Amino acid sequence: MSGVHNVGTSPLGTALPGGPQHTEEPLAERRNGANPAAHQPAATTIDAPPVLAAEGVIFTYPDGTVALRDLSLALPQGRRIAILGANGCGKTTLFLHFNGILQPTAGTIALSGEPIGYDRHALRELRRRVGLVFQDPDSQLFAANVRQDISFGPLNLGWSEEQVRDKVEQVISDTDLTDLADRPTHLLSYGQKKRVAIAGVLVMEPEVIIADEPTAGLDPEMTARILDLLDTLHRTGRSIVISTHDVELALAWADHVIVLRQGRLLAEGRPDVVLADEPLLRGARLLQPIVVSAYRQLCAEGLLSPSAVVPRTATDLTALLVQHTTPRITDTDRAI
Amino acid sequence: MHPFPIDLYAYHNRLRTTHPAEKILFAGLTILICLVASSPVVALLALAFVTTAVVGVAGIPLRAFWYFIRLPAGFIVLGVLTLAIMSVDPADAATLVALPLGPWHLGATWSGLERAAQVASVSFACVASMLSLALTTPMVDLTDQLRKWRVPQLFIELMVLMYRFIFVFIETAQAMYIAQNARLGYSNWRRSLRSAGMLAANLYLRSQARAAALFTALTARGYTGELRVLTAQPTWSPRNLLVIAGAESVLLLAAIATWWWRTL
Repeated sequence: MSGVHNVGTSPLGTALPGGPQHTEEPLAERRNGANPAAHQPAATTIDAPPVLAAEGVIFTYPDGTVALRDLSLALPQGRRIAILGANGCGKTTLFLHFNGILQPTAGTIALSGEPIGYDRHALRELRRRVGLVFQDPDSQLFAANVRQDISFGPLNLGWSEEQVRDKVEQVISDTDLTDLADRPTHLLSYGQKKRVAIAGVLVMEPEVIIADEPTAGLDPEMTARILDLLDTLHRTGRSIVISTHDVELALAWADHVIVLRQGRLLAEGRPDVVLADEPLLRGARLLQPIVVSAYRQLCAEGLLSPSAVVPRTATDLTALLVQHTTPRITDTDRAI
Repeated sequence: MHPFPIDLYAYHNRLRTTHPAEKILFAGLTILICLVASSPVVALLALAFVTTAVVGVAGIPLRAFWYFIRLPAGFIVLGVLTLAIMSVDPADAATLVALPLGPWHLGATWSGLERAAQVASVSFACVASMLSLALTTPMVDLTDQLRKWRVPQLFIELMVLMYRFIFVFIETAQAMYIAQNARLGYSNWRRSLRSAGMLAANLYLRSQARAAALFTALTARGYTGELRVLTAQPTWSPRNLLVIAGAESVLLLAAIATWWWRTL
């Protein structure tokens, strides 16, 4: 096993073109090996340059509500990032800052290391590069049919009509919306509206896609489809940011998690480290993932010896159990 | 159920892909000729054409056509009654019927009935023409066409947003109504009034919040004051144009003929 560990890189994670190169570590190896990084403080595990960063951001709404209190965090480039936190912890407010809709009362927001500007031109560029998918698709979709709604963003960027037409058609086929393209938006199901909302952002070719609670209110199949779509977008080198309360989802899906509490950063780092920290999660009014608590209980019962890496899915946990019970047998088999 | 069945037909009929301008032209010219000619004969002829277009060509069931025309037809009948029935002088030779009502007489005259028939038939034909457009053309085609005709952006954007939000409001209102009903909000007359009032007030507040959310979401996609979207590029059909020209010519000839007849 190599001595250098690419912490925070998921098995599916691909390096962003131009970004730092990662040597992929096979999943099995990560499960087996003692990973020194797992014992380090979670905050030191970022190995990609930040695509978006907040530095000392304070934001107070006009009614006096303080939504963000001296928030500093960095979103690593080309990763799948989950932002976790209870209702009202400032997730949505933070997202609106990343898109330049809200301007911090104090502090700065930076995109690729450059503090963002708030003049017309800078905002247009920012909104192209950072796409925001809202939680309620009904507040995002305004046009009479799907194709028209998707064409809205790129037309605002001043592209030629030809270029917009081509791009819209491409995105429609990429997001599996060909059958729905001429449908009126109000006749779509909730899950279909969500996909159209993502397509309407994707068409602007953003480097970062931020989705506010993309799976809230969706059935398991629709949730899987949306996550598949986000994974596909991630594989093309984009950074994907989602907000969620779903700790299982964050543990299984994300490469990097950020936990907020009352407008402050509570923790950030690898999902299997941050989401295994029960006191921390309790402080954020979140629950420990079932996989993690099952793993802990199995260890406590002596059915499993504590491994360096906490399992992230039921499959991971099963693999650990299999490993724990079978190695001696295989050794004997080999001896024979 | 679909909250707005007209819309469903607009998307599912055999004239769906026809150039919207052709449909607007047909409906518009028919209305214009009916209004100018203001003759029951022309109006009935126009009604026959429109019904053929909607039922025969577009394939919308006659029952559906009648279903949608019922409501405006009711208004027409009510409006026309006041033309047909009026205060009359029983001594006048023109009076057909006169019913005494205190010191007055209510009745009808030939000229009054004629006028009522004329207004009723013309209004009915115009409503039917308008409905033929609504039943065969989705809103998105209409706004596309108006954009191409350089109708001021403001009107089109208002149409687009109103159309989109009709459905959001219907859904919101329905959900609120069900929630109120589930808590016995409509169990008697007084409570019904109270609940309906609360629903209306809440709908207003919700629409404010909706508008704010929409503005935020549009801003996130680079909105700077203009709702620009791609428009479809439909093709003109020479055959359709010929049919429209034929039908309108017949109407026009009928209009000229009735005018000539009257001046004789």
